[in-house]
Parts: sequence; structure tokens; C-alpha cells
Amino acid sequence: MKAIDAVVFHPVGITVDGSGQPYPDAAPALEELDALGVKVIPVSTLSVAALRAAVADASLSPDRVICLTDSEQGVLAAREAGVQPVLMMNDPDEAMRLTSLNPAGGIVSLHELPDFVRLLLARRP
Amino acid sequence: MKKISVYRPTTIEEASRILSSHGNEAAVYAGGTDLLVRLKNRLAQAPAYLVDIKKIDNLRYINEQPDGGVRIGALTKLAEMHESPLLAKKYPMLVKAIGMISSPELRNASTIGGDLLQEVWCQYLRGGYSCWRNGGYLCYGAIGDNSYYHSAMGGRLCYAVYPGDAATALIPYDAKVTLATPAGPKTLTVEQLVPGDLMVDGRIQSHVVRSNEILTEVVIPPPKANMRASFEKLRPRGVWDFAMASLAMSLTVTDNVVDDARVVFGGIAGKPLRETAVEALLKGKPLAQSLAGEIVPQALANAAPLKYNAMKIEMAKGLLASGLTALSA
Repeated sequence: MKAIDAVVFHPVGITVDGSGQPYPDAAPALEELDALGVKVIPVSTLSVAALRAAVADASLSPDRVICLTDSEQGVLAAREAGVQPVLMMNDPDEAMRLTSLNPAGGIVSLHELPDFVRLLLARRP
Repeated sequence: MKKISVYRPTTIEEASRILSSHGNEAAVYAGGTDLLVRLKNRLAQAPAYLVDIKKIDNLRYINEQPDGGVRIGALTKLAEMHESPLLAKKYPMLVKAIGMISSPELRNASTIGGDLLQEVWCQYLRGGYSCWRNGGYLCYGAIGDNSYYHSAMGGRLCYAVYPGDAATALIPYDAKVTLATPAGPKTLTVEQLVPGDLMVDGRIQSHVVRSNEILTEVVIPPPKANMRASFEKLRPRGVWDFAMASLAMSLTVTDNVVDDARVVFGGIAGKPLRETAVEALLKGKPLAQSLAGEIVPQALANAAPLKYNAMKIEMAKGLLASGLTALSA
């Protein structure tokens, strides 16, 4: 896995719950990512076209972008768009099933993402 | 098994130089009961260079100090600690905990330094899964079978529990360790030594020891005359296994009132977990059989069990209840 410049995600299940309420760990984690120089790019849908557009609009190299997702559709779309799929492991059983798709990584909670980025930098400076 | 080279230095300085020259590719080799298993498990992060420190003099001893404390060399076998009359007299709770580590055969090989710094025993890591500690970017324990060896108190990328019993039992005695580092000796409390998952030299590990540092000694202060202590451990197999939950606890008591307390859970978190909220609640309380009923419901309020290990919290609370009852008797 390469070092990353940006994280792309659909907010539901990542930063807000199904009713639109923000998760308490979301804001601090996003601030920390910003401090690490990682762009945070929410998209309205996890389609291949939306992911490609987000990456192009921000002038990013797709292989240095991760797509945070908790669905099979998101993992497959990320792969097709050339970005690195990382699981948000909200449902353990579903997440274990999705590991068979060989995602680039996985986190249990958004508060882990800054550590994910730091470790990535330490391993692949 | 990957090809390895073994160095046999005769001084700490020589060992330190070798470790510094190889970085993360080298590791200290003492008892081998963890390190050699990691090599046999073909873990990606297992070292290619072993620095065998067994030829270094003066790292294997249990010495009483003039102040009444005890110093234990890092190469001292767990069996030697378990059979030490000096430790039994001064720190019986520690000796009980050591006697519950693995099996007699393994205690004859394992060293106290290795026990403190051992790698986690998550079945996914040891099974070669590409997890955080094995060069990957995902914790399989967080989403798979986490019944036994995973945290019920949250995690930080890796959700395996810190497996050592010795550290859990040393913390109530306010024990410290000495590290040999390229910049000279460094002293840490055992709590500081194993603060839980953190990144050290690009790796996730439970302890703070860098790849070019060597743990050389454990120092236990003199026992307090009015201290009572207990250690209990629940494990999947009673003969020998890692803790699903353990508790090392000490109460310092004057006129039947608790002056000070140490409450340290093992087997439920990524580190020996000091439950400071319970310690604060215990201070100033008279010892009585009713104490457990008052304290236990307030323990481990920050529990965050995974899908299959909520019972660990109940086990830990049960240990707290039985420990308080025993120490109140």
C-alpha cells in the first residue's frame, strides 16, 4: 500500500449515522487528518464515476487515495476507479466477508484513520 | 522458516551495537519461547538476525537490596522467580502470578525480560494473517473470533490483548525496569514500559522498547508492611493458558481503612489496565465484606467489548469481587 494524499468516502456509516447524526469521533479524526495534510473528500455516492471525478477534481493520483467503505459495492467501485479500498468495519461479520475481496486495509472506527496514515508513512515514507 | 543469523555478544555494549546496525531486522534472543515461535510461524516481521544475550554475564540474578527491595536480572527464568524463597517472602502475589504463567517446562525456558516484552498471542497474527503486526493494514481479531485473546476495552488498530502476567503483577508493587540504550541506561515504571499498542520504529507493539534497546533488569521497591495483595486469573484451559481476565490488586491498609490501592486487570485490554477510578473509590474506605458490592458495579465503566467477548468484562468484575472479599477477610 502506498502513502496517501486523500480519503474519499460517502458520509453515511463513516462520519454520520443513518439519520444524519454525526458520530462523536468524526470531527476530531477529520481535524487530525487535515493536520497530517490528508484531504478529506466526501462524495454523494460511491460509484466509479463519482470516485474518478472526485480524484480528478482534486488533481490527485488515484493510487495515493483511499476510499473508505463498508460495502462490497464500495470496494469494487474503488478498485475499478484505481483508488485503494479500505474497509470501515462497522459490521464484523460483513467486514470479515469483505476481506475476501482483498481490501488494502480496514479500521474499526474513524478515530483510527490518523494512526493508519501515520503507520503508512512510517512504513512507506 | 526464514534464514537467520545468530550473534552471541558477551557484553551489553556489543549487543547494543549489533542491534543498532541491523535496526528492525534484529531482535534480542533469550529464552526463545516467544521469538522462536514467531520465526516458526513465519511472521513477516520476525527478525533475520538474532542477538543471543545469554552469554552476557550478570543478567541472571535475584538480589536483595540494602533498602529491602529486590533486583531481578532480565535473563532470570520464570521458574527461578517462582521457586525463589526471597520473592515468596517479600512479594507472594508476584510469585503466585508467575506460577500461573504457561507450563513448568516453559517457565524453565522463559525469562522475565521476555515475558514482559512478548508479542501478542492473537491467533490471526500467529496464523500468519496479514494484520497490523504482520505488515498488513487490518485487524482480523476485531471482526473474527475474539472470544479469548482480544480486547474488551477498545483498541488502537490492533485489538489483541497484552498477554503478559508478570507486568500485571509487578505494577501493584510499583516496580521499575532498566533499559540499556545507546544513550545509556534508562529507567521506566512497568506501566510506562507497556502502555499498549503504539508505533515504535514503524511497528505496532505493546511496549516502548526500541529495536536497539535491551531490557536488563526489574527493580521492585521494598514491600510495604501494611500491604495486602492478591492475584487471580481466569483462562480458557485451567492447566495453562493466557488470561481471558486476570486481576492483580494491592491494598495498603491502616486501622482497617484503605490508604492506597492498585487495581490492575490483565487479559482484557492492549496493556495491563490500571483501573484508577476503582483505586480512587477504594481510598478511605473501611475494609468490609460489603466493599465488593459497593465498588464492583462501578468498575470498567469504559468497557467496549467486541462481538464475542463481552463475558470478559463480567469475568473481570467477578475477579474484582472475589479479590476484594479475600483482602477484606
